[in-house]
Amino acid sequence: MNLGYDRLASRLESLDRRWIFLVLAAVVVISLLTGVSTPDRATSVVQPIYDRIENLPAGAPILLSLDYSPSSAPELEPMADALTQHALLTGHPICYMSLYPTGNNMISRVEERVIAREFPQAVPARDWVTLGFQVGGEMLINSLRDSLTARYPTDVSGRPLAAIPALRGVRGLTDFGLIVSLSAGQPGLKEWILYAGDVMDVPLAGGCTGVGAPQFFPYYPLQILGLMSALKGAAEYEAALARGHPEFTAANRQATRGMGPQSAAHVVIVAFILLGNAGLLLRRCANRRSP
Amino acid sequence: MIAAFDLSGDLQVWIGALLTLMVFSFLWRDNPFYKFAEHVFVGVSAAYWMVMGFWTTLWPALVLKLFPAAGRWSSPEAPVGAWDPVALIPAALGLLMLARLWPRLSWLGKWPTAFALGTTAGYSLVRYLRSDFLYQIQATIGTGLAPTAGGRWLWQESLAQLLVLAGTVSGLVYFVNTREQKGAYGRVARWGLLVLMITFGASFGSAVMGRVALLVGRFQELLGPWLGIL
Repeated sequence: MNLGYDRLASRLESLDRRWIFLVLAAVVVISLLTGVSTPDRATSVVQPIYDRIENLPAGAPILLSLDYSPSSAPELEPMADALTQHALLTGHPICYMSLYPTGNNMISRVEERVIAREFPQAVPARDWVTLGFQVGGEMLINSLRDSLTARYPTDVSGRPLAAIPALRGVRGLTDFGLIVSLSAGQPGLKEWILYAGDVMDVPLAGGCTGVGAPQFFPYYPLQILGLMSALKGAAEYEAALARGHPEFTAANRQATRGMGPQSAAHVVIVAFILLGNAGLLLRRCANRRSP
Repeated sequence: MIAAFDLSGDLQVWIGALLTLMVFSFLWRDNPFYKFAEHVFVGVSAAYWMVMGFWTTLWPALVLKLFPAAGRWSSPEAPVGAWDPVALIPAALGLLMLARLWPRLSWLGKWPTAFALGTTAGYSLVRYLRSDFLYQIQATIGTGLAPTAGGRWLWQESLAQLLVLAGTVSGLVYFVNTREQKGAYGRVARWGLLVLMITFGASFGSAVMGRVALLVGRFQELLGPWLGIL
């Protein structure tokens, strides 16, 4: 008996980590192929962002700052897609900008994947405008507070801001109905809170990676009106959007599709943690029984 | 629904897929394919950042301000701006930074460093004090412990706020090392330690969630655009 405990504990302790990788990969692939999905609904941290857009005055513009690079796109891009679809479904012009040098490419991907495919009737400059990346981080935010033209005399296509219908009546950041920063690090949501949200009367919300989430949750609800955290936050937003706008269900629900494999992978990780602890307990039992 | 294979004919998709597999191969063990992908990543990233840095920072913020006519070369249709002598100051500070390359002149590099550190610290101090200190205190204790909605006591919200307050105070007590942690004081400190452990666990869980999302993203790219199964 004691020998059995010892042998089992040794096997668990010497489990090659490559088995864990292989099982994790197999579970993710199978979940993706079978289309496993988990039901989701917007929590009280995500719902206010949806409600804010729903209750904006007609035609109020939304500023969407895509502050991430390709390495964080799987987590943050579904949020950009869902927010873009929501804004266009409700008739609010979107203004894209970025604090990241790779931001222009990230904006192009949203334009191609969502606007061009799902909203072919959308008109540039009327329904959306791309200001793009500008260097400066927090200093850029600071200089945009009173005047967008201070740093963006034109949009990325060279059109003067004064000639863009989507920005009619917009002078500075306070004229937007909502500002959302989808943030992978610095500069990002933190800088938006420090240099825009906390110093002027402007509703600010955010989306962040799973790694960054613990840093941003303390700012809710006093300093940001809502927060989407990683793929889960995006899936919650998609759930709220699907409930409020049935036409959205046919659209691209990227995060909801990713949550099935994500949940399955979490179960595998928890199972391996339990297995590791079982090995430790068996080792203790074996040590106690040994003379 | 599992569909048949439909391999992509797009070279860009193939490069992305093969580089992904090369990086994944490190999970088996270190190998030349992984090394190749690693070196390509570092090289491409460095080149990309250098080019972006030049065209998004140096060119518009320095070159075009000191030599406005150069704008005709990069954007022939754009109007030529005015000469801005203020740009000479950052140009001089930038050149002083390069002095660090010569040991005898390296002391000159301390000036722009001091300028950058001083202005950033001075500018950020008030904002951090307000956002990360005063507002955080307000968020912890200032919202009221018994909020009501329409005259009804919201016990769940009140309990959550009490937990946040108790967790913050006990966490702070744990870090007070000028008094021995025993008796009731010690129990509060141990509760603080428990709160800290739960916080670290939640942070770790959140990080794992993020990493798994990236893994799912890569497999979606491999099975979707590359193999055409999804």
